[in-house]
Amino acid sequence: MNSRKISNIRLAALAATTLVVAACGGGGGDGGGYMPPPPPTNSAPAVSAINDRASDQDAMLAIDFGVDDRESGAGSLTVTAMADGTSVFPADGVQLSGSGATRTLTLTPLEATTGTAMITIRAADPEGAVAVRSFVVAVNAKNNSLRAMALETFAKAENDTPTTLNGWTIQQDADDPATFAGLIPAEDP
Amino acid sequence: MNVRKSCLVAAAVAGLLPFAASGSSHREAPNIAGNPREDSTDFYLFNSYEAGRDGYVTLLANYIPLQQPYGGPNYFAMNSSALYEIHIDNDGDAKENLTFQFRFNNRLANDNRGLKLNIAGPNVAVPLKNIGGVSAADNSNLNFRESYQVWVTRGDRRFGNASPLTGSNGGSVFGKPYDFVGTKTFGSVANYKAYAGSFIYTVNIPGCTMPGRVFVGQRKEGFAVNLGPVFDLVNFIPVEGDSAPGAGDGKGFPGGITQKRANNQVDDANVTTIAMEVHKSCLVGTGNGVIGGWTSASLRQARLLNPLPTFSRPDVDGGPWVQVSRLGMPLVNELVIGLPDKDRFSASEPRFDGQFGTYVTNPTLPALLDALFRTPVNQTLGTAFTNIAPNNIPRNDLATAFLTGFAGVNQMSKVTPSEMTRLNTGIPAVPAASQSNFGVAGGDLAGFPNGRRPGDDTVDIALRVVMGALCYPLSIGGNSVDLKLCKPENAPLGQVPFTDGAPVSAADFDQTFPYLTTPLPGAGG
Repeated sequence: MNSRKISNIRLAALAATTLVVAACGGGGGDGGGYMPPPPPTNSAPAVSAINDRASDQDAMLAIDFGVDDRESGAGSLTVTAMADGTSVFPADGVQLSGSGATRTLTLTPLEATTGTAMITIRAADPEGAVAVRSFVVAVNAKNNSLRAMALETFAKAENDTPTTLNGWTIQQDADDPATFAGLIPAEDP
Repeated sequence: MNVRKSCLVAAAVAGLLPFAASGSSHREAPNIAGNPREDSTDFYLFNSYEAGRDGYVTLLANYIPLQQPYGGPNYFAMNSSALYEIHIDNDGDAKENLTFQFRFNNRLANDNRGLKLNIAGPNVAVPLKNIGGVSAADNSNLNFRESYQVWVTRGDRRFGNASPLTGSNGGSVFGKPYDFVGTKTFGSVANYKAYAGSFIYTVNIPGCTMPGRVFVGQRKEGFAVNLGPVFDLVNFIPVEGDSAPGAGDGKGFPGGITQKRANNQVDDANVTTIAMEVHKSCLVGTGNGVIGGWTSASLRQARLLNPLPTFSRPDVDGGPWVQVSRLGMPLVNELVIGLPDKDRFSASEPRFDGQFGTYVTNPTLPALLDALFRTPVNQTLGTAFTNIAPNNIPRNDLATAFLTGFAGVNQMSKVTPSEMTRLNTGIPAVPAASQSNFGVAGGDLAGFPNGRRPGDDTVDIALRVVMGALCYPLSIGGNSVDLKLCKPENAPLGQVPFTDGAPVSAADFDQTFPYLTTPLPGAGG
């Protein structure tokens, strides 16, 4: 043990003794010189990182994320989510579920709608400290081949349940009549 | 409640219900307006009142609306790619027990090569559908010929067992008369009537002990409505303006409309009718004798346009059937269902009608009439109504009229709220001369809403019911009948004689099958 280490140990012991005496009201006199220590600092909650996302039109997107709070715990957090407009995700198309440290955000775009929206998740603890996490969701057109659709539909028996086409976007085919000419059966003689 | 009182109540209710139910549905939804060949316009269901046809039920389904008789040269053929159907529910589950399915075939003369003329050597196909006179005895000048087949399916309309109807000669293919292009082609109106009459077939229906009759062909439009002004924000005062309908004395509601045929703006149009007459023993099944009926049209889900079209193959259709039109009670899709859901309604089946319930229980039409007429009514009558629309929300009176039928009259033993025309086959038909065009409300239990006959003035009845007529005790056969569906204080104008001024009655129609009259000629006559 060298002299520097001995010195540090002594200083630490002295400080500990002083704190103990002060806490017990000892030390003589009327105590008017004592200042209580500041309360513990409330740290902000935490929301895990969420990358920007992309999804197809007319499809729901579920995003799992985590929350935490050092002082009060994840279960005490008030978590909300909202989009920066309603043109892509209506108010009821942004839904939170889950509890505790693991939460799920479910996004449902308007039918047959494409575009981008910024989603903001906000977590607040009972003391009012807030954490915010924002990310962008792009809803992309889902292109369906008209030819594939036709063939799929034609392949069904006439009494089968029809294919639902809500929200379908049909990609443009080449401007070539021959594209479908081959699908036309030969005429009756 | 005894049977008589029950019938009276039902009759009273039914009589005032027609507005909601009796209008027709011409071009009523955005999508079907672009598909007139599959657009069902009216559906009639009634106990046959032709002499000697006791026990039979007549079913009429009209398609292709607002046909101008001069609409040549192609006129108004049915779609050979479509499936036309008439459905019957006889046990109250809102699902068809019996379906009559019609498929059409269009052919040119000369094995689909068409009639040809020798023009200085080559034989050249003519551009017209007829090149000379046409009669029942000689159709050699007819270049375009339509035929059809009919199947009866029991159970699910798509998965039930289908059997073809056959004629007296055992064949299953029936002809459809050429449209009434004019009196030069057919000689006269009487000649066309005889020509069309030759296309009424007696048929054997598999599973039925009694034969039926079928006819498909052009008819004069039977519906009567002040169509243009109605949809121009009701551009007239829709209340009886005379002391009595047609009196012309102006002693009714100040400024109100006078009944006259000129107010029927579809009086110059034709329509295409699918007509059947079936014995009730074939229709009622195990129910209480009340049947529900509606018509629908379906297309294949996919259509490929042929870039090199021919007469027989302008396109190719394939895939499963998709329903595109539906009609049970008239005016429902026209005036009750909201615009965003009209095409969905056209594609739906009665058993799924719960999705449209709010349109009936919380209707918008009375509110629109309030917006249009509250101020004029208050100014004319010196009243201070703050709302002339009935305030009994939910409108149980309309739900009863539209969705369940009236107990003792046209309600099935099992009640499934759903929109269809309900007919009690046990209530005897009334001859044309004795019918009331106000049906049950007019004391005629054989009329609307107990089924629907051509002469039932469903527009006027519907207007009155929508504005709360059922909230007042009804006078049926001298008895005051309170339906207890709502109260007089719910409907300030519930006793006002609303009307569109377009009269219709049984006298406007034939008294024999198919009842709807000879179409208007495209020329002459």
